Amino acid sequence: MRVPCLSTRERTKSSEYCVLDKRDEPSESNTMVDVVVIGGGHAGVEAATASARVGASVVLVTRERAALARLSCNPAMGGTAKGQLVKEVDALGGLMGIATDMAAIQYRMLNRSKGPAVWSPRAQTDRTMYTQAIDRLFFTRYPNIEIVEDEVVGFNVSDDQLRSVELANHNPLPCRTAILCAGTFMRGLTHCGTDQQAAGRYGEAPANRISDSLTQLGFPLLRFKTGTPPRVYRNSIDLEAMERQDSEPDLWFFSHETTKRHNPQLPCYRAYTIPETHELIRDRIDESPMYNGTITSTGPRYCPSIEDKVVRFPDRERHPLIFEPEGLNDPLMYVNGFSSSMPVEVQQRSLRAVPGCESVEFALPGYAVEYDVVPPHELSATLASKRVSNLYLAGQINGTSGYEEAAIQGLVAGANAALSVQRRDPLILRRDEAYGGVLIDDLVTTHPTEPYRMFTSRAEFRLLLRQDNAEERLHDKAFSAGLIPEDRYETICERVKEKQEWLRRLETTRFRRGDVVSGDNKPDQVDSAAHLLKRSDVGLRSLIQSSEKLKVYPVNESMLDAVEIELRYAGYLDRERRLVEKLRAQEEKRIPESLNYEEIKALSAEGRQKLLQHRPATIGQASRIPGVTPSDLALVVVYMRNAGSMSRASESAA
Amino acid sequence: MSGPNVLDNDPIVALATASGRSALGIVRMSGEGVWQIAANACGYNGLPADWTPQHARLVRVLNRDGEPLDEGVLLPWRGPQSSTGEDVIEFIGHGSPAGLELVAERFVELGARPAQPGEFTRRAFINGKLTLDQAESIASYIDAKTSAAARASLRVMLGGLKSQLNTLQGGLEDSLGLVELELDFSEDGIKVFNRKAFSDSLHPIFRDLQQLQKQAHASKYLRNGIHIVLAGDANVGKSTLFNALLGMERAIVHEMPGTTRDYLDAAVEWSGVPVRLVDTAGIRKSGETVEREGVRRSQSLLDHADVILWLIAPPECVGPDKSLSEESRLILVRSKSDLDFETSYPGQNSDIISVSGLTGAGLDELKQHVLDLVLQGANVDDSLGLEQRHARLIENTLEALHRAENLSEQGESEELIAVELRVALDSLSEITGKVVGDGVLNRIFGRFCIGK
Repeated sequence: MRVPCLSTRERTKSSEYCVLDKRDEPSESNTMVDVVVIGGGHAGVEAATASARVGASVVLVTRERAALARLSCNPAMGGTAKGQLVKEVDALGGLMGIATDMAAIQYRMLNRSKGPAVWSPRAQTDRTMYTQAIDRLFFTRYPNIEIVEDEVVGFNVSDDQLRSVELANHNPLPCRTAILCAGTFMRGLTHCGTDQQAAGRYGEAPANRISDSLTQLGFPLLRFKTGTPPRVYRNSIDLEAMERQDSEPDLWFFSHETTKRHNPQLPCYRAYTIPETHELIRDRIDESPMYNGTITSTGPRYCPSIEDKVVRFPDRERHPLIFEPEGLNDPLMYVNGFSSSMPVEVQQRSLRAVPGCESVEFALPGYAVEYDVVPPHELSATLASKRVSNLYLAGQINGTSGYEEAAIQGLVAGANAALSVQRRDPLILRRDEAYGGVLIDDLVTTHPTEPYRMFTSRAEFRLLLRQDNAEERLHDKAFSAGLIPEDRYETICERVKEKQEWLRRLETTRFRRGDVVSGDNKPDQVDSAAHLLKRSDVGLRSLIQSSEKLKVYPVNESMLDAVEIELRYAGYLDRERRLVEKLRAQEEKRIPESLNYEEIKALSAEGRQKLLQHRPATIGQASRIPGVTPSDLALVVVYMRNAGSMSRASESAA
Repeated sequence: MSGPNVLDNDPIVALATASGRSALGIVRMSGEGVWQIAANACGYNGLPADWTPQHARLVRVLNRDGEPLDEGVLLPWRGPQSSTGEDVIEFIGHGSPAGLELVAERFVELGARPAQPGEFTRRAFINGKLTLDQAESIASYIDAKTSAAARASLRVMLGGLKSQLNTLQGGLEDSLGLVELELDFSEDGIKVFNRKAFSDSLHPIFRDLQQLQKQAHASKYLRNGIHIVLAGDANVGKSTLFNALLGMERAIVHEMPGTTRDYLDAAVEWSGVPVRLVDTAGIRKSGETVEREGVRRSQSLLDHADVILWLIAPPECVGPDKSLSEESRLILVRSKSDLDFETSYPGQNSDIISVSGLTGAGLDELKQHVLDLVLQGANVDDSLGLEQRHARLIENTLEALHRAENLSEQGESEELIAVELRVALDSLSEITGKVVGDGVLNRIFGRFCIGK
């Protein structure tokens, strides 16, 4: 597929791609750029656009303009905890939610049967439309972001500051900051049986020289692995033989700005493997690079390959597979649940054993990919690296997996790079205000042993971090960083105010014994409307209707939903907020970057080593690093205070 | 996951003097709002205007019903001019450990939290009451104290409790794992959390925790002794029994009513449990001033007793007051069982144990009865090392689990059950020292084939 050039640069009109040959433009080659974003995946896209929103000049370097925000793995967005991340990206003015709605061909709210705190939006997306939507957003809303098609081959660093980014085919790009979003491309190596290719994605060349450059700068590197299932021809499988899974009828969207569904909705299809599938795999297991020792790096446990499932759970008679459409008019389907790095022939034979797949034809086999990762203790919570403070890292390079995880990191890194150029306060998301905060805090305080995926269980304040209140949680930070415009901010403020107003009204409206509330339910005694609503048999809408006092106020459905959720969780939310308050002091107690841990003699050996490695920014972060004991923390606090009073003393002496 | 909070300044309380009997004992509180807690404990609503820093006051600490627990000197401090750098209250009371613990428990009722080992020192340390040099030398002390506490719990764990606690925590982590699995992998259509099975799995956990609660309860007696008061009408043989239980002639035994005008007490050990036996003056109306004072003291002793042995002997067979007769700590004893007669009194509603201080008949049975009543079947060896702090943590765990069970039975959704399970696990892991953290996710991945 060819994507038309959407660059605003008139000079490049002649080309179908936005190739920008800097060698032909010596006059521009020395222009200092605020932010250079390296990589055009989900992290890179959000990084570039966030920087631009904050007001920075941005150049995005990507190998292939047409591959912007390409969905490398499944054609779907969101899911448990991930859907919440997309909502947060949207609340911070990002692109992912808008593009998802534009490309959505199936909507499902996961966890509907559970409480609203864990409802998680998910959509099947048309792979081509998604990329086009991002492309269009760039064209219409970010005309000033320059896109350079090239490969980054190195960094020029002096005095621990990045000076310019070196490109393979252009002059170096002088820059104030850069954000590296290399995805799986750094020394990417794909495996399909014994077939190995140096590639970041199937058939796409890896970026090998960035790794060398990072190593030279002193960055340690880890090796991670991930995998993807085969893409098969839709007309080669019998979908009638499978269970159909349709879009849900309820209308809701990922983005605040979406008002309708853009596309017809398509079903997915569920099938199951059979024992014969497992036998075929087991017989040839020594040809799997995962099992014959070819791949030694760690893959994600929550996303096991089919050979992993067969070996680790030999007693299971079947494993579910979901056939997901790659797009509205796309001839291909994605075989979710059949991730594999076995030889193509084994993949095909074992899949053909599945009912409905007897004559399945592959367009692309499943494969595994190994790639370089920078251990994220190298980063601070702004996602700036500690070694080179104007070089930021975001996305899979930090050991995460998933589009959504990458996007939120890109957005935070992009905002912070631009904010640092403008010498403004950084954007730091806290654990109690965003899944993005949990994600980044987990990254910088622990050492990943496998690709990190977001789960709702990772958030200790899960009831506060809901998909329905992302804007409410983040609008202040989004606005003060310049990530959302003033009119949107004011709309959100008004909504928050109205919600508070409703809550207050419900607290103060009293029902007496004998008042009829929703049919046969009568309050046992004088009771506030808010308290009555905690009884699950009383609904907010009927309660408003039965009160002369409440009836008069204008209602809107989403407001009522929000109020109902707040009341339903009232006791729990209060408890979580109290806990947050309690933790606030230590989250705000900052540790100077220059703190010399060697001078604190009584630190435990492990504590000192971990503190030196992570260099936590706050006492709160330090407390979450495994191996740092309470007395280590206490020593750091005392040392900081003494150092502070000493410097004050020397100042006054001088 | 949230880590230890070193900047905490919530009110904490602990006995500042070593456990055991001494002339005076100190209960110490530190943190935000401790003056108010102390004022409330002394029966004031607001803060008395005449309480000023470092000025001692004579006060009475009252229980919930307004009855005095102890009288002593209260010394308030304002941070940062205090030992911890925070607001501090010191209550110097009479040395009875049981009494001081009641005072500490009262402070807890009013909002303080039992301090963790070394927590006072840690706060002093954080609040700059120490130089870095001092701090560094004391860091190892804090660690030593913490590890001494850990060793104490380790001792607990070396007994039958070790595997019990770990099994408990494991069981709860399993339940939480199932709940989290449903919440995080609903995409896969996983249905693993079964409410009936969850309730069933909680029952043995409740049983074990209640047993632990008994152990923790018993540990209080192991440290402070069981406080047994002999009471009853005059001349029913209290002193004879007292001597018999002591196995030596300690009390003066005389046939004239009212011989024991003051109380006598003595310490013995029964099956490894320290026991403090008190022989009271006979409660009877008397014109003699000395004896009247004795009667008043008897009443106060009765109030503080862990066990009351109420002796009945003919011819009158006087039973206890109605208020007393319904207390579970009361044991009715028919003394002088060597004499042959019927014993019962109007309104009697519990069994009577027959003993003879003269022949020793029934004494072993009585001792066993007292131990059973107090220890509730707790194993004495396993209770060593359990502290009041543990009792509270176990109670928190139990309460959270009861809430989880209710939520589950009422059909409430999983994310709320998860909240309560996490509260329970947090409390329990403070005892076991085993961090929950990633453990839950690891369990999920280890046991279930999930993910696509």
